[in-house]
Amino acid sequence: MQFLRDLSSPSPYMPHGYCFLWNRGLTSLHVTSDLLIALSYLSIPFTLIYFVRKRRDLPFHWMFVCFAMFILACATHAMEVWTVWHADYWLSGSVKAITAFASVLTAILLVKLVPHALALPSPAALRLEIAERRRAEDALNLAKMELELRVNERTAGLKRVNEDLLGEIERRKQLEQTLKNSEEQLRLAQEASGLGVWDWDLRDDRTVWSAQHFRMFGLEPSLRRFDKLSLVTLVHREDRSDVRLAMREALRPGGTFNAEYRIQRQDGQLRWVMSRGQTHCDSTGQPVRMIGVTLDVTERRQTAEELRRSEERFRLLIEGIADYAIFSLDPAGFVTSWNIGAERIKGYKAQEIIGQHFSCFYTDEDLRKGAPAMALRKAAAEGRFENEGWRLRRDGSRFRANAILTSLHDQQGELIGFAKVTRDLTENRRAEEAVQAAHAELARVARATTLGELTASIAHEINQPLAAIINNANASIRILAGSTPDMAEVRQAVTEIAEAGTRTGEIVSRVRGLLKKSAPERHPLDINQVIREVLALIPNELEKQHVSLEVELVPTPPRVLMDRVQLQQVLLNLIMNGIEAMNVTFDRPRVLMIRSDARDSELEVMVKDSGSGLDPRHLPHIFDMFFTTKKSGMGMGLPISRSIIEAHSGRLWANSDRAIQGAAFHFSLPAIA
Amino acid sequence: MNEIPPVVFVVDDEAAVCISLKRLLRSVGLEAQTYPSAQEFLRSERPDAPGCLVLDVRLPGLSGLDLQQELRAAKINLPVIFVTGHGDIPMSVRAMKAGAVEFLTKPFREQDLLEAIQRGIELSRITRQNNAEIRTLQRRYASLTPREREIFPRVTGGLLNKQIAAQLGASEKTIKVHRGQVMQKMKAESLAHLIQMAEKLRLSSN
Repeated sequence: MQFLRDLSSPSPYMPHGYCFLWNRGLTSLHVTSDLLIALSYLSIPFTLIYFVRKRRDLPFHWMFVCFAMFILACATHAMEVWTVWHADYWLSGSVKAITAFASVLTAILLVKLVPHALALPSPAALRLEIAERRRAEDALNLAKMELELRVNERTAGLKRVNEDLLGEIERRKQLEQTLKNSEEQLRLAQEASGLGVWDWDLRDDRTVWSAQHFRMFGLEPSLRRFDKLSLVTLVHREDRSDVRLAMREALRPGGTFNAEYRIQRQDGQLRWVMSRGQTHCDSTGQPVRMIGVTLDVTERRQTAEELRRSEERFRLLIEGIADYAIFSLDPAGFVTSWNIGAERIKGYKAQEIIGQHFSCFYTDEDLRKGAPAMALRKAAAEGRFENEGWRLRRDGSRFRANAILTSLHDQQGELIGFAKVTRDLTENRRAEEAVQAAHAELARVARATTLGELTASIAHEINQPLAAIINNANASIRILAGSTPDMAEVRQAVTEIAEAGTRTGEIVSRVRGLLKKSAPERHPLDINQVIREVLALIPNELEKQHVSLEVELVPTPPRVLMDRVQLQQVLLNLIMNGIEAMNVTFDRPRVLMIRSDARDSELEVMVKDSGSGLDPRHLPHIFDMFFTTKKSGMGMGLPISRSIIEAHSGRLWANSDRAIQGAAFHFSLPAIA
Repeated sequence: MNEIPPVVFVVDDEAAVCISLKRLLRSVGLEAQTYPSAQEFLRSERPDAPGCLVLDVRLPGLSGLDLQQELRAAKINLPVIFVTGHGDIPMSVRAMKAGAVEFLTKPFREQDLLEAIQRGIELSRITRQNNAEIRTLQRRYASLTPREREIFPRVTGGLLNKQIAAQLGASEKTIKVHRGQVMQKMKAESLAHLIQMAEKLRLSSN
C-alpha cells in the first residue's frame, strides 16, 4: 500500500536532472543516449518476432520469444529519460525490477538451452548428409522404375485374363437368367394352378417335391427331398390303404397313379388332395421313375358336399310339406317324385304312384276333354299352367283342387319334366269356415266382456219406460178413484203404458242374446301396447277393405287404470266402425288413423276414418243404445264403448266437422298420477 | 200467511217420463212444469211459488248434478229430488252432499216420490217464509240510526245500560232512550224477541 501510495503521490525526491545540475550538454547527452537505446531495444523484439513468424521451422523458437520479452523490458531506458525531469524513482525502480525478472528468467533458460543448441548440426555437416541422401535417392528411383515396368507388364496380362473372365461371367449370367426365367414361369404356372410336382426315383426310392407341393402338405419347402415312408404318414389313416393300392397299380408297366385322398397336415388341417402320376420305365421295361402332380381339392369337395346337403335339405323340405301335394313328372307326364302332402291329399303312397301317368288324378270328363295333355302342353309352352277343378283321390272320391304345373328345364333349355303343386280347396274352404266360426266366437266373447258395463246402460234404457208405466198406472188409479174420473186422461195414460211396455219388451229381447258378465280387472295399461294388440287383430280386415293404416303413438304414454279387454273392445269398436264407414268410399284413399296423445293429466286417443263423416241428424243419437245406421248393426258398439270409458272416469266423443273429412272419435282417460 | 200453490219442476230428457210424472202429480193435486233439458229449465221464466225440482241425473248437455251446482251458485234455493235410470253410490253421495232432498232410482215407488216432493215443498215454504221475515227485519234495521246500530248488538249481547254507557262514553240515561228507540223501531215485544231478531239478522254482539 505504501508502495502504491508512493507511486501515485507527488514525489518528495529530486528529478535526476539535478544530478546533472541541469547542465545542458550533460542532460542532452543522457537523454539522447537513453532515448536511442530505448528505441533500439524496442525495435529488436519486433524484428525478432517478425523473424520467428517467418521461420516457423526454427528450433527453440520459444527462446526467441523470451529474448523478445527481455529486450522489450530493456526499453526501460525510456524511463531514465523520464526521471531526468520527474523524480518517479519508485516507478522506474519497479520497471527495472520487472526487467530484472525477465532478464534472469531468460538467462536461466538460455543456460539450459546451451546443450540442445550445441546438438544442432552445423551447416557443413548438413550439406554432407544431404549429398549422401541424394545419391541413395537416385538409386532408389532407379529400382522403382524397374519395378514399375515389371508390374505394368504383369497387370496387362491380368487385365486380359480378367476381361476373358468377365465375358464368361456375363455369358453365364445370361444363361442363368434364361434358366431362372423358365423356372420362374414354371413356378408361377404351378402356383397359379395350385399344382404340386413330385418326382419319385424308384431306384433309390427318393422323392423330390416342388415348393408348391411342400406348401400344400403344410411343410417347409426347404426340405426339397422327401422319402416315401414319411409321405405315407401324412396321408389320413383311413385313406392310406387306398393310396398304397393306387401306387401298386401305378407300378405296373405303363401304369398311372391316380388317387384322391385326405392328408393330415401338421398344422392340424385336414385337406383333400388329388394326385396323378405317370410311371417311366427303362429299356428293360423296369419302372424307374414316377412323375406326377398333386392338387388341393378341399374347396371343390366342400362345395360339392354343400350342394349335396342343400339339395338334400330341399328334398326333405319338399317331401315334408303336408299341406300341398308336390310331385314331379317327366316330360311325358309320368310321376317321378311324390311328397307327404301328395300322399295325404291324393291317397297314393310314393311307391304306388311313381312311374304311373298323372292322368289318373283326373276325372273322366276331364280325361275325355284331354285335360292332362293340354295341361302339359300349356305348361311346356308358357312355363306355367294353373287351373282349378275336380280331381280324384285313390279311393275314387273327388276333391276341388287348385293345381300349378311348372315346366323344368336343364341348362341347355331342354325340357326335363314338370313340377306340380296341388292344393285341396275343400280343405281351404273348411279352414275358412273355421276362421269365420272363430270370429263369431270372438265377437260373442267380446260382447260377454262388455256386458258388465252394458247392464248399466240397459238398466237405464229399461227403467225409463218402466218409470213412465208406473207413473201412468198410479195416476190412472188416482183419477179413477175420484168422484168424476177424467176418462180421456185415463185412456191416454193407459195408451202410454202400452207404448212404454212395448219398448221395454223390445229392449229386453235385444239384450237376451247377450252373454254373462265377466268381472273386469283394472290394471295400469300402456295405451300404445293395447292399440298394438288390437291392430294385430285387424290386418286381414284392413286388407279386405283396402284400408291403409296410419298410426301416430305418443312416445311415452301415461298409464291408465283400465280393464285391458274393455279397452281393447272400445278400440276394436271404434276401429271396426271406422273401417265400415269407409266401405262406400271410392273417391279418395281409405285411411284409418289412430293417434295417442298425452295432454295434461289425460291420455287422449283418436280413431279417425276418411269416410263420409257423420250425418248431423244422427249426431245426437250415435251414443244411444240400439241406435244404428248399419243394416246389421246392433247399435251397441258406441254406447258400450262410451259406458266403458265413462266407467273409467273418461270421456268419449265424436267429431265430424267438414274440415276433417270423415269421422273422428276421441276418448280421453285420466292418467295415473 | 196466505198460501201460494206450490209448483213441481220436472227435468227429464225422456218425454214419456215427463208426461207420466206430470199426470201423476196432477192426480194428487200438484201443479207440474216439465223441461227436456237443464238448459231449457235455466232459460225458463219460473213462477214465484214454493216448489221443488225433480231432476234426472243423466241429461243431454248439462247433467242433473251440474244443474244442481248451477242453482247453488246462483243462490236459487230450490230443493232437488234426483231420479235416475241407474244410480251408483258415488253419484248419490255427491247429490246428497250437495243438498238434495232425495235420490230415487227409477222405477221409484210412488209413495217415495210423493213424500220427497212433499218434503221439498215444505222446505221451500220454510225457506221462503224465513226469507220474507229476514227481509222485513232488514227493512226495520235499515231505519235505525248509527248510534242505535251501535247499541243494538250490545243490548242483545246481554250488556247493562251502565256498561254500554261506559263503552260508548255516554250517559246511562241517553243509552236508555236509544234502547227504547231500537225496541220500538224493530217492533220487539221483549228483549228475548229482540235477541231472536239479532240472530236472524246475524248481528254480532261485538
